[in-house]
Amino acid sequence: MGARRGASVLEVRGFTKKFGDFVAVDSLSFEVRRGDVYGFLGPNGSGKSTTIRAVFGLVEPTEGEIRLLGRQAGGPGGREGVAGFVDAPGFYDYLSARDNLKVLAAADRRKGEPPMARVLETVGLLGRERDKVKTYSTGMKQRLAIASALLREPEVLILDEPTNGLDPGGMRDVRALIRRLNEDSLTIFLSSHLLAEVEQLCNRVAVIGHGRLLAEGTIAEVVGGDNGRPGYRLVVDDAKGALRILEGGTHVTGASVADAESSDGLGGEEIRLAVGPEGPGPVVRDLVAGGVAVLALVPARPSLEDLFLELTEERS
Amino acid sequence: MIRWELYKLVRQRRTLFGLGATALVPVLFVAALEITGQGPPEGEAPFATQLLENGLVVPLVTLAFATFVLLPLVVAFVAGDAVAGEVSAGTLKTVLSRSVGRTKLFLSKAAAVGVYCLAASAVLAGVGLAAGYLAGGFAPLAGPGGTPISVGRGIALVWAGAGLVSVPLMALAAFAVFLSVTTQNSVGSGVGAVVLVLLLRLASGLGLAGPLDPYLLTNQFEAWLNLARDPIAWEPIARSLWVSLLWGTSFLAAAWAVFTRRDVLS
Repeated sequence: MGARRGASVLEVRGFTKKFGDFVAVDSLSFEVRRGDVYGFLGPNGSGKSTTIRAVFGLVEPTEGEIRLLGRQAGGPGGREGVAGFVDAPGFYDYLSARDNLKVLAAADRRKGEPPMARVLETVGLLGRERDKVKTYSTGMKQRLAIASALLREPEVLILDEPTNGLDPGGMRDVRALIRRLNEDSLTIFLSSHLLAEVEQLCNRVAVIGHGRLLAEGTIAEVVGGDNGRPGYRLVVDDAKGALRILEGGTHVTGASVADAESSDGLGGEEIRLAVGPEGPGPVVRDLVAGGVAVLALVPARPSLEDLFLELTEERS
Repeated sequence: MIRWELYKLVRQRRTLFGLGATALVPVLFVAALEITGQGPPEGEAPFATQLLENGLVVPLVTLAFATFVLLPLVVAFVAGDAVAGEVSAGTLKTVLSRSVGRTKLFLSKAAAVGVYCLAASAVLAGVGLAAGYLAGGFAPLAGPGGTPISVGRGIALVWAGAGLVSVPLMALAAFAVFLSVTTQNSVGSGVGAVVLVLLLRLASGLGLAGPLDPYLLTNQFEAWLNLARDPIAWEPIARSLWVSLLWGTSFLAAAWAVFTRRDVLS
C-alpha cells in the first residue's frame, strides 16, 4: 500500500448526471481520504446510487470528473484497487456462493488464485459456500457481496447501504465487519440513510439531497459548524405564551414546540430553540420579563439526524 | 471469462430445456412414424418419400423441419436472455464493477451464445442419427434429382448440414442479443427474434421481398441441401455463409455499440 494516510483516494469534482431533463446529481464535489470510513448520506432518491454507479464507471458523468486512486473512474484500469457494490447486490442464484465468487473473480485482473477461503471466513460464510445463493438470507447475500468485493483485495471498499434489509443482528455483524476492515487499513466509502449507523461508523460524511451536496466534513464539523446552529431545549410552563414573546423579539432564529411532552419530569412544555449570536441570555430575560416561568434551558447538541432532517427538508 | 460464461449457460434451466426440447423432436418424430406408419405427404420435405424405409432420412428431415421453428425458438430464448437476464438479476452491474471491460464481457457472452447455437444443431443431428438408426437402420438414399447418396456421405451430410444451419442460426441469435441489450427484457427479446423469423418467412412466402428474397436471413437455412446434389452446388452455400455473416456481424456490432456505451442503471 505505501501511500500515506490522509492522501486522497476518491475525488469527485463537479459531478453532474442528467437523465434527459431530470438532474439526478448536480455538481457534486467531495473527497475521500485514505483511512477514512466515509459516510455518504441522503434520503432515498437523493442521487447516492447514481454517484456510486459513476464511481464504478457504470454511468457516464454528464459533467465533472471522478478520480479513484488517481485514475479516472470508468477509464482504463479505473476500477483497480477499488471494490464494492451498488444497490442490492445481484448474484447468480442458481449457482453456489463459491461458484458466484469464482465467476466474479474471473472478471478481475489478478495473478494467482483468489483468496476464497479467507474472504469467506472474514464474512462468516465459511461452511455455507457450497449452498446455492437462492437459499441465502438477505444478510448472507449482503455478506457475500462484501466477500466478493474483498476477493479483489482492494484498497478502497465502496458499499451502497450495506445494512439495508438486515435484522438488528445482521446490522451489528456488518458494522463490526466494516470497523474491522477499516482497522486492517481499508478505506471505506459507504452510503446510508441510517444516520445512527453513519454516526457510529464514519469519521467523515457528505450529506446530499436532491442530488446536491448539503454538507461535508467530519461529523463534528458537519454537526457543529455553520450547518448545525447552536440548539437549546427550553422547558417552560406556558409554551404558547413563550413562543409569542420569542417571535416578537430578535434574539431567536428558530423556535418550535417539541412534539413530545418534556421528558424531564418537570411538568412543563418543551420548545426547541435556535438562538442568535448573543446566546440564550437575552431569551431568558425576555421570557421572565413576559411572565413565563423558565423551568430548564439545556444546550442540545444537534444529532446528525436533526441536521439531516433539517438539511434535507429545508430544500425539498 | 468465456469459460465461466459457458459454465453459467450450462447451469441455467432454460439452456438445458432448450437442448432437451431439441433432442426430443427427432425422438418424437420417430415415435410418430412408428405408431402411425405414415410419413409426411410427398413433396412437403426433402427425402420425405424414403422416410419409412430408411433411418438415415430421419436426421435430414428433422433438420429441414427444425430450421422453421424449433431451432430459431430454442436459440432466440437463450440469446435473448444473454444480457437482459443479467440486468434483471442485478448481476450485470456486479460483474461490471470489477476489472473486466465491457467489450470483453460482451464478446464472451456472444461467444457463449455462438457455442450454444452449435450445440443445439449438433444435438439435433446427433439425436436424429441415433433415433433414425435405432428405428430403421441406415441404407443408401436418393438425393434431389435422384443422386445416389452412400451411407457414409449421408452421415457426413447430416453433420455438415447441421454445421451450415448453425451459421444463420448464430445471425438470428445476434439479433436476439441486440434486442436483449436494447430492451433489457429477456422474454421480449426471445419473442422478438422469433417474430422476425416469422415475418421474414411470411415476406418470402408472399413474394414481398422481390429481388432481395435470396438475402433474407431465413432463406439461408436451406442452403445445406445443396450439399446433397451431385456435383455439390457451392454457390448458394457460399452465399448463405456471407449473407448470414453480414446479418450476424451487423446485429452484433449494433448490440456491442449499445452495450459498451449505455448507462448500467439496474
